[in-house]
Amino acid sequence: MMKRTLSTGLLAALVLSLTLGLSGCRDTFSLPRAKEPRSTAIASVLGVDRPEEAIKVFAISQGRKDQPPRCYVGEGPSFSEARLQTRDQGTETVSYAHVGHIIVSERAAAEQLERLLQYSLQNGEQSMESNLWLLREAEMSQVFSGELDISKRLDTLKTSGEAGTSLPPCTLRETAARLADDGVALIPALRWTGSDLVLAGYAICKKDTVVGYLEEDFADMTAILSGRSLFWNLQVKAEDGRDGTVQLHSGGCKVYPVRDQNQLLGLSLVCDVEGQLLEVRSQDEVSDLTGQVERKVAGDLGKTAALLQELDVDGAGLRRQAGLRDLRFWTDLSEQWDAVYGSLGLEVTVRARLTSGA
Amino acid sequence: MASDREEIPYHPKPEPRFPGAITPENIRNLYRDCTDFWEREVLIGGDPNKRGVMFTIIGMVKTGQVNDSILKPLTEGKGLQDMAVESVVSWMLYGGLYNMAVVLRDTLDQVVFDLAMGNAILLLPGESRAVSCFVPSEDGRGISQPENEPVLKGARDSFVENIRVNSVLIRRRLRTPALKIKEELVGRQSLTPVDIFYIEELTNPDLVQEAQKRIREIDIDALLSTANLEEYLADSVKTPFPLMAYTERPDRFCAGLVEGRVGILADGLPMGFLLPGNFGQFFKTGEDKAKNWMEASFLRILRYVCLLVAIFLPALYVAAVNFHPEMIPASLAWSIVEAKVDVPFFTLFEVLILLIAFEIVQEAGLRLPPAIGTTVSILGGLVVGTAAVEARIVSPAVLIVVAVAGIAGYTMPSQEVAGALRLWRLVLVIAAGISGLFGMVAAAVVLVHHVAALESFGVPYLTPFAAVGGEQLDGVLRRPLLWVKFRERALKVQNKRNQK
Repeated sequence: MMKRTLSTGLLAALVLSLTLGLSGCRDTFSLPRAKEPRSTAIASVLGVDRPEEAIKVFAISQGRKDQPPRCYVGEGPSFSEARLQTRDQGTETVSYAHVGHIIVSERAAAEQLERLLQYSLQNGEQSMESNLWLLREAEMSQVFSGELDISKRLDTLKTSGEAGTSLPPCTLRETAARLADDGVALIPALRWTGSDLVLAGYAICKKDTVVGYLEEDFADMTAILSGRSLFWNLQVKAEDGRDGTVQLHSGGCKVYPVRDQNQLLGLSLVCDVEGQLLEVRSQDEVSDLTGQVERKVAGDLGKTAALLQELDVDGAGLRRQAGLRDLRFWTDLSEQWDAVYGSLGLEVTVRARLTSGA
Repeated sequence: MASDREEIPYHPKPEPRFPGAITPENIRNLYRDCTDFWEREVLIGGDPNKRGVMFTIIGMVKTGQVNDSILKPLTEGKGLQDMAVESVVSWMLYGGLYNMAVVLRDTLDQVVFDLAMGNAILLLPGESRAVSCFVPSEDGRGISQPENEPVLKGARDSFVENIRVNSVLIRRRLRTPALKIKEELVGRQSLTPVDIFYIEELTNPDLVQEAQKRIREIDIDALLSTANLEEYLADSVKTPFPLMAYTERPDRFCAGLVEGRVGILADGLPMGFLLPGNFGQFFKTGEDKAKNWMEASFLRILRYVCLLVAIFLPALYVAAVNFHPEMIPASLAWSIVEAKVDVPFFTLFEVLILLIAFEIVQEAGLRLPPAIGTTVSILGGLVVGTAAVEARIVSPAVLIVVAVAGIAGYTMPSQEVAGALRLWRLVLVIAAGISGLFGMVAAAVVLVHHVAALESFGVPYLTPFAAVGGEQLDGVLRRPLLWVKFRERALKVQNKRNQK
C-alpha cells in the first residue's frame, strides 16, 4: 500500500509538472493563458479579399443587445497576419472560434484558397465546418460595410441549401476533401445586389484558379449530379397548349460505371424525380407531362455533365460516386479516370413520377 | 513543557482485562460509584444460611424476567436448602431457572462482559464460578422503515441499534445453519459486540479470517460511530472513496452474504457493513432487483452518466469557456459572452464560489431540523441563486452548470461516493482552470490511477470493470436473474454457481 501511495503521489507530481509546463505555448515551458469571454467579440463571418499584393480580412461580430454588428478590418502580407491585425481594434478581442461563414473574393479564391484551407486545417481555433462562399463581381468592402446582416443572410442561404430548396452549401472541410480527391471544388457563389446577397451558381475552383461558373440550371443539375437532394420548379406545356408548373424533387443521381472487365467504357447516370403538378390534370396529361419532364431533366443533366467534361473538371464527383457503386473497380477506375473522363460516354436515365394537383 | 513533548507509549490491552477471582468484593470494586449497579442477596431455597448474591445493571436487564425466571425459582425451589452448592449450580444450569440461556463463567472478564450485555450474575457461597443468566432488556427503537434507502417494492424493515434484533432480522431471511455469526468485543470502554456474518459453504474463508483479524486488531476506547469500524477495517484511509458498503436494509445485507461477502454488524449502529466493497457495488440499489431488468439497467446506466456529469461538467465548462471556446456552439458561446458582460469575477472563481456555496447550503440543510432545513435549502438555492444572477455576481450559465452537476451527484445511491466525487470535482475544476482540457484530463488520469490502485480485502476496487476481463456485466447492466448463474469471480467464493 505504501508503494502504491508513493506511486500515486509521484504520478500526480509528474502529471502536474507536465500540465504546468507543456500545456502553454509551443517551445516555452509555461501555462496557457485563459481568455475570459467577457471582453470578446465573436466573429461570425469572415471575408477574405486580395485587393493588390496584400490580403485583406474583414470580420463581422454580432453586436451586444442594442448595439449593431461591428466590422473589423485587417490587412497583411498573409492571411494569418491580416487576421491578427483585426484583434487589436476597439475595446474587445476578436475571437475566430465560431466563424460560421467565410466569403472569399474571386481574386482571393484564385490565389489564396489552398493557403486558406491549409491555415484552417492547422489552426485549431478555425473550424473546418465553416461554410465557404465566393463573392462574384463585387468588392468585399461593399458587402461588409452595408446594412445587411450578413451572418443571418448566409445562415438563411445555408439552411435553404441544406433543405434542398437552393444550392447546397459546402464547408471548408468538404472543399479541402474535394480538392484533394478530385483536384476541383465547387463553391457556392454569391452576388451583391447593392443591398442583399443572392446565390449566383457555383464557382468551379481548382487549386490556383477559378475555372468558371455554373449558373442557374447548370448549377442545379450539378447539385443533382453530385448526389444532393434538390427541389426545383419546371415549366411545362401540355398537349392542349396549357402552360403549367411542376414542383420537382430529386434525391440525387446514382452513378454506375459501365465497364468491360477492367476497362471503363462509360457512366450510367440514373435519376429518380418526383413531381407535383400545380394544376389539375387528367391521367393522360400526367403521362404526357411525365415524359416531358423526363426528357427535359435528362437533357439538362446531360448538358451539365457534358459541360463539366468539356471543362475537364469532375465537379460533380462522378468518379467517387461510380467507385462507391463498384468498389472492386475502384483502383482501375481511379487509374483510368483522368485519361478517359473527357470522352466518357454518359447515359442519362431519368425516371419521373408526377402527381396531379388537388 | 518538557512532559508535553514526551512520547506517550502505547499501552497494550491487558489480558485479562479484569484480573482476579470471581468474588463479590472484586465485582463490587469494579463497579463502585456506579449508581445503576445493583446487588441483591438471595436466600437459596429460602435458607437464611445459604445466601447467594445477584448482580445486575439496572436498565440493562428485564426486571420482570429476572424476578420470574431467576429470583422466584431460586428462592422457592423445592429441596434447594438441602442441596450442596455444586448441586444447586447444576440445578440452575439444567432447568431449575426458567431462563433460556444459563452459563457458567470462570473468569472475571466473562462476568464483567456478561453484566455489560445485560446478564444477571449469580454468585453462590463457596463457589468460585459465577452463573450468568441471559435476561437483557429489549428497550430500544422499534423496527421501522429505512430512512435513507427508500423501498417501493420490498421489505420495509431496517436495522436498529440492538445487535440481537438485527441478527434475528438476518436469521429470518437466511435460515440455513450455514449462516455463521462470530462475535468480537471492540472498545476497551464500550465493549461493543461486533458480529461477523458469513455463509460457511460459500464465503471465502480467507476473507472471513482477514475480517476477524482486523476487527480483533481494533484497540480503541469505544466503538460509537461508523468511522470506528470503517476506517479501521478499510485497506486505506488515504482516499475519499468508501471501501466498504453499508446498508440499513436486512434484505440487502442478506443479498450481500449470499453473493459471498462478509457482513459486519455492530451493537449501537443501525446498519450493516458488507465487505469487500467495490466500485460497481455503490451504483446498485436495493430497488434494482425489484424493477424490471430493462428499467433497472437503464437506471444504472443513467447513474454512471450522472457520475460523469457530476464530476466533469463544471471542469468542462471552465475549460471550454476559458481555453477552448471553439468547442462551444456559436449561439451558446454568444449567450455565455452576453451573460458574462457585467460579471466581475473570472470563470474559475465563479464556478468555485458556486460549488462551495452549494456545499454550504447542503451542509446547513443537514444540520437544521427538517422543517427549517427544507426552508433554508429552498431559500439558499432559489433566492440566493436567483439574486446572485440578477446582481451579476455570477452568470446564469455557471449557475445552471453547477446545479446540474450537483443534482447529478445526488443520483448516486451511496452518499460516500457522492462526497468523494464532490471533492474530486473541485480538483478537476482547478486543474481545468489552470490549463484547460489538458489539465482536466491530467487530473482525471490521476483520479483513475488512484481509484484503480485501491483494493478492499484483496479485491480490486474497480471490479467488475477491471481484473475480471469484463466478464461480469452486472456492474453496469442488471441482467435477468435467470441469466445470472454465477457469483462474482473476484470474491473467490467456494461455490461459484448460484442456481441451476
